[in-house]
Amino acid sequence: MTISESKSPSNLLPRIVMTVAVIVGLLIVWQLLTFVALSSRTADGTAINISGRQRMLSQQITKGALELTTPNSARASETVLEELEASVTLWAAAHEALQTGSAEFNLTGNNSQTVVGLFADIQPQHDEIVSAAQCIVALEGNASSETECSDEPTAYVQVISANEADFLQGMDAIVNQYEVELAATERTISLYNLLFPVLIAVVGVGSSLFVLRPLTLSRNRMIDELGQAQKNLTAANAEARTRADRLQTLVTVSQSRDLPLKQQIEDVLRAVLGTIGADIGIVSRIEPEEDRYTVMYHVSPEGALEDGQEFLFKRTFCETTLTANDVVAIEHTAKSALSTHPCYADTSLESYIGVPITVDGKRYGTLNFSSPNPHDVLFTEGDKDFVRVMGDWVSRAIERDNAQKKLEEQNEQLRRASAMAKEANRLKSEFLATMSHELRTPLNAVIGFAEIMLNGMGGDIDDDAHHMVERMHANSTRLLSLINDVLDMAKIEARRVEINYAPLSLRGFVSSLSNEMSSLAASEQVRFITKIDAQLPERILADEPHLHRVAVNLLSNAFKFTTEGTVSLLVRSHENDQYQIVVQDTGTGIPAHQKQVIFEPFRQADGSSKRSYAGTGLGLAITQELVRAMEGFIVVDSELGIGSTFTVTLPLRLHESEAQPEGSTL
Amino acid sequence: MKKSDKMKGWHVVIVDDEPDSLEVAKRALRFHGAEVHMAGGGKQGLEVATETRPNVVLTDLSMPEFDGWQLLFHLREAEETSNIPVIALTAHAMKGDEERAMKAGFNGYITKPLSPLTLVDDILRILQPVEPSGA
Repeated sequence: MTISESKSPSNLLPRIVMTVAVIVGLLIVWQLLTFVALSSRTADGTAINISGRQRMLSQQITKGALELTTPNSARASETVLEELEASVTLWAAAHEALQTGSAEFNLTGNNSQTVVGLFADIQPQHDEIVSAAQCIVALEGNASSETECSDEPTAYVQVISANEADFLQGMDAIVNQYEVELAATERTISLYNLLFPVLIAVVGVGSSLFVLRPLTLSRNRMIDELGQAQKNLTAANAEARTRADRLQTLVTVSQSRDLPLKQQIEDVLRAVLGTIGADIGIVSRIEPEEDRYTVMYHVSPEGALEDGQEFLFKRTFCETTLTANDVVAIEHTAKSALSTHPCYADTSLESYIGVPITVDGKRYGTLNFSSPNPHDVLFTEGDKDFVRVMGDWVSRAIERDNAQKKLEEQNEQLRRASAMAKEANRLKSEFLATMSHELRTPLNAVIGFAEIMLNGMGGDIDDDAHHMVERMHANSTRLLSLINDVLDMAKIEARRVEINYAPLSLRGFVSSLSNEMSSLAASEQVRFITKIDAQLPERILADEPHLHRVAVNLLSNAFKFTTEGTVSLLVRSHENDQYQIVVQDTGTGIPAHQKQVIFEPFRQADGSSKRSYAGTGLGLAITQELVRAMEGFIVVDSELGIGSTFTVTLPLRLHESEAQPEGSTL
Repeated sequence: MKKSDKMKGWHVVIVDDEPDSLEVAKRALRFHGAEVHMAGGGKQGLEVATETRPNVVLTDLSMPEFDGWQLLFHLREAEETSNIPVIALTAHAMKGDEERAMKAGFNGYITKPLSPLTLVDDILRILQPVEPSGA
């Protein structure tokens, strides 16, 4: 492409203007020339006509002159004379006009040299005829003549006759010449009509070279440029699509974390294959010291590979990848330095792109893509970056999976340990329950026999024996109580306490406790007082055995530590649909720092080392657990030497018939 | 304590696989004047009850082979023993036995361990509406 051809289309405008101007100029010239030629033709025609008339006039002059000089003329001589005079005047004027032009005769007088020459040739004859005719007119009219007309009129007629023939011959030549010139003018017009269209056509055709050719070239250039732009756009589109596909791949993989690892990785491999242009995608595990390459995950044409399939590591392209410790890309093995690599001999893979992957800080293997076909274009930096990113992703995915598996394993271990612990606990509780039952049965027999003896049902015994049986009975009873506590604690620890709500009369409950516990008072110095809030409903829903156990434990405790004063039991309503069981004593009290300890199993306020009071130390622990099981809570308020107050607060569950107790403020 | 005649003329059958429990109950009942027949298992209890037609049968519930539930069933099934009151002796540990026993047709229940001091009164309370049929 030359420089002139590369001019932009805007430079064509002057050319177009010039071309049009030339054509318009040609048209104007053509029309002007045609106009001139046509004018000339008209003038020649007029001259021919007038020349013809001159011939006729000269003959009339001759005839008139002859008639005047002939005595037996038919017509009056005056008439002939006038005619002759008019003819001579007109003839002379026309002759003058033909040579010099005249508006009167519509003549231009523009005669060619030939015509001028011809006129000059006949000028003497003309002059002779005119003077002769004038002399005849003067002689015959008897008028004075300025000229010298000395001869006889007949002499002048002879002069006219003598010159007429030559004059007519000259005029014929002039008419002929005019006709020749007229024909030439017509030819000129014809020539113009032929020449100018040809010229215009030539200019038109020339303009196609001058204007259209550059225009065509310019258009062709634009088409070329458009084609190139189209190609660039297509390439850009393909690039954009590739990027979009890769972005989609990243989005997809970022959302696939819930899937199994194998599926996640295969999805990634498949997605990358599509965007990078390969047929086989592999995540490999490489153990260089074993020279082992294992296919961990892969995507390939049907049946080409299997997960777990092994290769000799040194006979794979991945060997080069690990050596490079970066992306290795081969577009066409046969044309590359790797054409001698054993992998090519084994697999005939023509293209390959692979990146090392590291898991948990240790070299794991590679992510690689390959094909038996050459890669049609060079792998770009973008391709390599993408493979690196995907390699990182695969690394992280494997790490996550490892961590997940580890976590699951730990959880499983924990679960097993927990299940074993639970089972052991259950077995322990079951054992304790069985043992307690087995322990109580013979103990009950001991207690039973002691009671038989103490009550004289087995016959009379002396006081000493009675005393000993009494001790036997007391110790057996205490042992039974201990066993019961252990059994209850075991049940509580095994979470086998079931709460069963049934209708209960609180007044009946309190009065039976009053009867039951009054015998526990250590001496007559301890008074037992019970009181019930009148605002409480008559019947509520409660687990009577557990509630009884709680009250008995707290009262037993109170009596145990009270040597004088009072032990009181108060049942009262409490805010928020609750009620309270309050056990108050005037006993030894509990040191502040021991208030929490007393609720722990196997502990007493004085500490386990100094057992000044009987009991397992389980009573309060059991009480607290039972209260909790009934969705309540227990608090203790105590002052050393003054006494203790245990307050149990429980939700108040109303029996249906007591749903709206009269007089209740609850 | 002086001998009582609260159960004078009564025939009582006690069925339990624990001999010492039987012995304690026997002594308490005899103390109050009752004639006591003991059986170490359900099957034996059925034989003794069928033979002696007692005023009341006291039976433990859980015994190997032939238990208290079966004993009740057989006593109720035979015409000659169907009217004999039967009281269940329930273990403290076996929650829910009391309710089940009442539904099954026992006349009442007494929770073990049996107290020699209250046993007779408990029996009489349970059987209150029932007149002793014996002499």
